[in-house]
Amino acid sequence: MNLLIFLLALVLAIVVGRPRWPRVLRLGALAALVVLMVAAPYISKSPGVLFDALTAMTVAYGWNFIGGYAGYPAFGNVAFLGLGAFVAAGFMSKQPHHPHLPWYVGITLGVIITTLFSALVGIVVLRLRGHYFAIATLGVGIAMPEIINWTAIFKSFFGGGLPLNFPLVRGFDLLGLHLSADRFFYYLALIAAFFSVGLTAWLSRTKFGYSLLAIRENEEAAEVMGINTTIAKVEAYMLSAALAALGGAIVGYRLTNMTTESSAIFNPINNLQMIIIVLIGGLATVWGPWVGAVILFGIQELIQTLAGSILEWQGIVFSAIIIVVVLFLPSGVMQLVRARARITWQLFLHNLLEYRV
Amino acid sequence: MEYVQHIVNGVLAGFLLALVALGFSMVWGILNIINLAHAAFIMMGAFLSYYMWQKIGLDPFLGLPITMVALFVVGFLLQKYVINLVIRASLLVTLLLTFGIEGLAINLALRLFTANTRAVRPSYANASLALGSLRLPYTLLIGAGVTILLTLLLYLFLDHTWTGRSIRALALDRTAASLIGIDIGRTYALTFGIGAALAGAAGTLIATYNGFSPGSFDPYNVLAFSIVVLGGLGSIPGALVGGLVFGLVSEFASVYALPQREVIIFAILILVLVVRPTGLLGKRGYNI
Repeated sequence: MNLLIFLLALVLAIVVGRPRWPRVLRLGALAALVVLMVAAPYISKSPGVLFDALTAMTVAYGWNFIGGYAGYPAFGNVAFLGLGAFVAAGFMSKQPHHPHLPWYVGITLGVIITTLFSALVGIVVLRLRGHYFAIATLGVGIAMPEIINWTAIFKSFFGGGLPLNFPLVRGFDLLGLHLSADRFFYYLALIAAFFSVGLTAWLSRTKFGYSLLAIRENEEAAEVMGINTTIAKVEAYMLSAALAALGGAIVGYRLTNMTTESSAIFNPINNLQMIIIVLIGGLATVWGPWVGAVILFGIQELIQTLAGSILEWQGIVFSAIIIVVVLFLPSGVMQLVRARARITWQLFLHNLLEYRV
Repeated sequence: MEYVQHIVNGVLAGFLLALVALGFSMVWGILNIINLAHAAFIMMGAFLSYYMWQKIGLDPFLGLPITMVALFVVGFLLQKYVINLVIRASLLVTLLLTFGIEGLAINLALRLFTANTRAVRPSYANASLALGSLRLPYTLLIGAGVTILLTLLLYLFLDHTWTGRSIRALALDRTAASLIGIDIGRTYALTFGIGAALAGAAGTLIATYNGFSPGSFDPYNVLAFSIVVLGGLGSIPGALVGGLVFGLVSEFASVYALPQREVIIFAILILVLVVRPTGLLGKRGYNI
């Protein structure tokens, strides 16, 4: 069932994202997509996989701002995913010495504080370019769990080395409507994902979006044209951190018990995942991360159905996908969706050989 | 006297780190690639030494040439048939490709070898040379000797052979190098192969010095990068100096029970990058 939902979500997103097709058709597909995603937890028996896809997508939409639009190879956004989760948990936890705030306050604080923190990091690391930037951000990702476990400063706010727990969710009532915990989390993730799509669609058409693309193409030229590149870059980095924190806080909330060792949070796989999703879909496109996430999780679901278990193979499959996509389709699936000419195998061969020596 | 011992420990560990950085520095300086698969090569070297030692009882240091040749072949083929395809593409592409290769190698190793911690323990592993009250473990001493020898050999190769000179010519100007008849693809592959061989040697040293598992090699990419940044890109003595500095810093960090090595190294890296950004970003023309 999940496979069918993934397939439909993919096809509909492709229709929406294909600029050559009539506007009415694309808007209709968008409406159908919204209906499908809202109805999904009632169709699917295990909406957990859909939840994973939507949160990963949210994080990937964040990465798309810095890695896609601004073209800065950030390799450590898992730091913000984790920080968002831990800050939210710190404010929401029922454990002693925690304020136990409601979830919407906790998650909002998680996003805001992480975003502010990312601004501080961004001002420093965005002075670097290219390789230097990539490795500095990789370092941010490696250092973050150590910082969170730094009890000398944070005392027990982040658990102090012990598990930090979100309050357990049994269900959710809104205007007389009862949602099971699973569905509550699903809709939380769905709202986050739709918010990310909307934000990307909007910002990519603003002056800000174009200035990021200008920075990606030629930073000096962008500067000369009057773009304050430092501010634009830091803003893109903050956006990427905000969406990473949003996705992370929701993931952590569903996970409930967290340590910095939890595989759902500070996992190198998570770090890889957001990049692969954007890469498969297409860098700097509105529907790219959506398409990428649906394809990636669709493939996982397929392997799961066929082979029984995915966990041991996940890293291998992900890495293999990166290699294949980088070699054969570096502009992602959206390159095919937007293509004007007929798609033949020559396109892949051309992609493969374009930059050889 | 205790301080002297710590300094000696730091210097000996520093030689090992220098070897970790040496191949990375060469690949970065000449191919303009940040090779995120470097740690995977180190891992392969460690596992190769481990299995040669365990299955046929070959001493890890005697097996070093075999490990290096094997890793050279792996690196050469990888560059020749895969990385050469994208070497002129944007930075993100080469980064992602080596990132993918690293992930593939490490995850395959996790499947093949499990996440158990292993160590190569030859008979002299726990023995050390006593100089007064100083203790110099034999494995680290031999490791330092290996590093010095390989650094010298690399220097002689790059400075005194035609192949070495063509590699350096390529780093200066690819078009000019190709005009005077240097086979670019092959020379790149050769450089990458040498880088992988040096990483394999570092892996052997690490295997005799520390316990290791497929997952324990991840930090070596950031470490190698930091050492190269500190020591200076494209400089053989730079890698050596950077390695020694980091060895001493790690040693004294553990003496004073400061936060983990990764955090300190990262702090130094950020400090260097921020204090001297122009000096470090000075090298333009990355999109060769």
